[in-house]
Amino acid sequence: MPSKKKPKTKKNQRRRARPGRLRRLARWLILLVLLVGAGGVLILDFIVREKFSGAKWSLPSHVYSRPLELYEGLNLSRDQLLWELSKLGYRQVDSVNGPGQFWLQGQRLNIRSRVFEFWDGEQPEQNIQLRFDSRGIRSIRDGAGKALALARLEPLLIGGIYPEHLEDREPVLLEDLPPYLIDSLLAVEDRNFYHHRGVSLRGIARALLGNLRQGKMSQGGSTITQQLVKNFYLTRERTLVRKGLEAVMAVLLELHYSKAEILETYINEIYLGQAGKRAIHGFGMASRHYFRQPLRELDVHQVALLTGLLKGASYYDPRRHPERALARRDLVIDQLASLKMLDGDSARRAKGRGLDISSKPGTSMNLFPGYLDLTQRQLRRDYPEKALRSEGLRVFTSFDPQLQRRVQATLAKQLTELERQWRLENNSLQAAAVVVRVGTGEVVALAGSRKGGVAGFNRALDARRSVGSTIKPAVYLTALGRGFTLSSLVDDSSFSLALADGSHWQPKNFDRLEHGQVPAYEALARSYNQATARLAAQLGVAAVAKTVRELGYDGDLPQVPALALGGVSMSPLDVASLYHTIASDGYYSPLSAIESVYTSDNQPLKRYPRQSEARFEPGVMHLLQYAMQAVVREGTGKGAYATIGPEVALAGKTGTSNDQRDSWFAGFGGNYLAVVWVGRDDNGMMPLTGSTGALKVWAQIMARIGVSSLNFVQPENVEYHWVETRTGLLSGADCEGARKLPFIKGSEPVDFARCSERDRGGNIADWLRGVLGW
Amino acid sequence: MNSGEVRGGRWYQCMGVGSSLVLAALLTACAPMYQGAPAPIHSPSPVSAPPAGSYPEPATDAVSEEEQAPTYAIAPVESSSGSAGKAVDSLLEAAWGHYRQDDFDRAIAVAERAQRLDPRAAEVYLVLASAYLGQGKDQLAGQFARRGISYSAAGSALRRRLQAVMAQLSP
Repeated sequence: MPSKKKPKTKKNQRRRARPGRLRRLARWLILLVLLVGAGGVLILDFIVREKFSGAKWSLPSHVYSRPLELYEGLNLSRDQLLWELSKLGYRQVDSVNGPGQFWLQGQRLNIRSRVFEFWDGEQPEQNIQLRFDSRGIRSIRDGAGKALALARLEPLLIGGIYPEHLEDREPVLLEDLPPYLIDSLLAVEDRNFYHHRGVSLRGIARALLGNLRQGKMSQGGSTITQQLVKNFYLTRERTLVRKGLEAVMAVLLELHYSKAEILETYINEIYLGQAGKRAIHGFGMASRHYFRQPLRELDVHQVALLTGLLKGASYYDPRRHPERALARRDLVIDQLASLKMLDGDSARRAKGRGLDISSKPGTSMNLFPGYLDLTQRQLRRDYPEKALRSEGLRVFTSFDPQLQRRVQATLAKQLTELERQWRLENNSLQAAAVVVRVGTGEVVALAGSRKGGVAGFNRALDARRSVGSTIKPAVYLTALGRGFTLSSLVDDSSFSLALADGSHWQPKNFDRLEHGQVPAYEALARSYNQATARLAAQLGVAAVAKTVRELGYDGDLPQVPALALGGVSMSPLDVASLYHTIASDGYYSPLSAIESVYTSDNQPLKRYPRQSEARFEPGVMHLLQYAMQAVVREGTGKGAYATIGPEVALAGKTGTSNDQRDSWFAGFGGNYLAVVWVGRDDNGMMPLTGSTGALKVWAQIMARIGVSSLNFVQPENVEYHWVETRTGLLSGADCEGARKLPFIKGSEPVDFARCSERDRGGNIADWLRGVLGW
Repeated sequence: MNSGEVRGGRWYQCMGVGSSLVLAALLTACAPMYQGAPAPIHSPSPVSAPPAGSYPEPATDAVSEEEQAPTYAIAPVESSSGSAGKAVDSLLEAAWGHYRQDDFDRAIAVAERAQRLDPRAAEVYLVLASAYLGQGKDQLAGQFARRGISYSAAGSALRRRLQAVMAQLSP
């Protein structure tokens, strides 16, 4: 039969052409999709490489304390050292066999210190054997029993400057990992890690099967590479598009980078907990947070705990859900054993251990905000904010956590006590304290508030309050530098000074009394306003202001007579700067918190070497220190010896502003200088003076931090002579009112007092020699 | 008794009295003028209480302001490095070791550790001054040399070495 062909009409022609166009269209569409897909892959490829090859994270800057130096005779008790060891994450063991461990028996303490890279060289691990007595360290030896002159522990992490996203991490290298970490990671998260190319079909299948059996989505099937992509590049949303992107990027990552690089990045990226507002990322920081130990020191049970957190850091948080955490940890240990990565005995021992976490997180955010504030301000002079928050700088300071604890505790306790004694409203008083190491200018402790650990207004740095009589040493220093002596008589009678604006200034003594002609040292010791103001007027305001500047103050100084009595506002840190120059025998050193800065990979970046500038002649400073000791021995500061033993020589000065709105004491011994301010934030009046307020707090602080006696060495150009204080003339020791005072050689009085033996013809031999010309 | 005997007797009596007086005067003259005893410290008048204000008096167990200071004289002491002597010596030895190898940064870092333990040890400043001089930082070298001189004993070898550093500084 003939085939039935359709007639060749236009319609039929169009019908035959349609499949061809569709095919072409499909081809074009496929091509377009491929092009778009390829373009997308190229973009993803760029994203993967750009972030992975550059600085992977914004790393916070971490701030460290001073390293604790141990030597025979150090006034440090066994318990104080144990406290520091616990903060450093050292573990007590029955037998020391590795770094970060100690053994304790009574007053005997053996430590194995950790290796640490200091500016002056690497400090290797060291066995340190210590014996204590009531005064502190009685002996210190190495592991072989040989006497050690000095041993040093690594510094303590005290806080950080965090990126805006508040992620905290301590990057670690693969070679720094403890045993079993990689094994446990792979056992729990990705057994096929070394065999897949980013995505594991076997893993996906296994997860699907597992989910079907359990009837829920409990397993993800993602490889470690996929998890890294999710955390490092993408969000946590569970969508098909995100999963698709994740898979593509995982493959791309594996194309460009080695398994080791991917694993190391994962170990440092993954989220493992929360410390307040800060997110703990990476095993390095997690080890500090949960155990206070460096990662490389962890045992298998600790490693298993951390690995177990990968499934849900909040859900398995060992502090909030210890049983869940323990069960999860044991599961990880079982998996290790089942995969023959851990032998049976080791697994049993590991499961028999407790959680072993530290009682408090090792990464609490900025427990010492006042001091960290000072550190940050000093850092910002040299580094931009962005660098501080992203480059992972390691900042080493002179902060002493032992002293800080005591300062903070004393402030809190003493203010409460003052409020009770004076029947003041609870918490109506505030305070600030600064402690500086004498001779070096290192700020070792700083409290900006009566309550420790609270960030906020930092009174130590920012409370600019009228300093009252704490400025008076500058007046007497000016006088001593211009030929006055400690026995020079100054007039403490009332007087009136005409001011430039036509008004009159009539300073009054605190007791409203006049004391006549008094020796200069006594006018300072008893803080006589009239004598000091008159003296300052004689010297000139400009001269006194110059002295204040040379002592170390560079802020505003009103050029008015009232400057001599404290008519200037300063912060406690400013006052500390002035007094440190006095305590350091006239050598000015800018006060500093920072010792050195390292990069995130421990390369030295910058040191902050000490400076020392001779601003005042040491002999003159010796005289001033004498007078300031008189303040504490017999003047307005004598209440200090109700707390501190009388054998400890101290120097200082009280300060009380007008209307008693501010109570100050600034003083020093041989090792520490401290400035304490007490007042009200609303600048209200108080019943406290420098003597009844700040001095009491200061004395308690100094007693608790172990202030040593002032090293009051006589300079070569200073001689001591007996003088009759009433007249300022030379005398004998037996004259009434006689006192042995220091003088710059040649400045001592030449005339003798009537009471002296010479005047009574006492020294006949001298007289005879005078007559006979011998 | 004749007048001669009386006259002679009176002469001897006068001689005896005069000699005794001279002897007594000489003995007194030879007594030290300055006893060297500790200064008698004034019993200071109590520091006045602050003016009465609107605040109530402190509670009865408040600490009185009128504590008597013990009578300790304010007197200079011999310089000492205290309990940290051996530690300071060990650090200085290490610092010199770095200095001799021209590792001035390390020498300074170690010397600063020693300064922390004993800020009055003159040798600390000798190391610092020498190291800064080695780095060409004359101003810092001078600052520390001056400080070391003030803490060193007159005529001592340390002082001479510090002065030698000063002499090398550019004018």
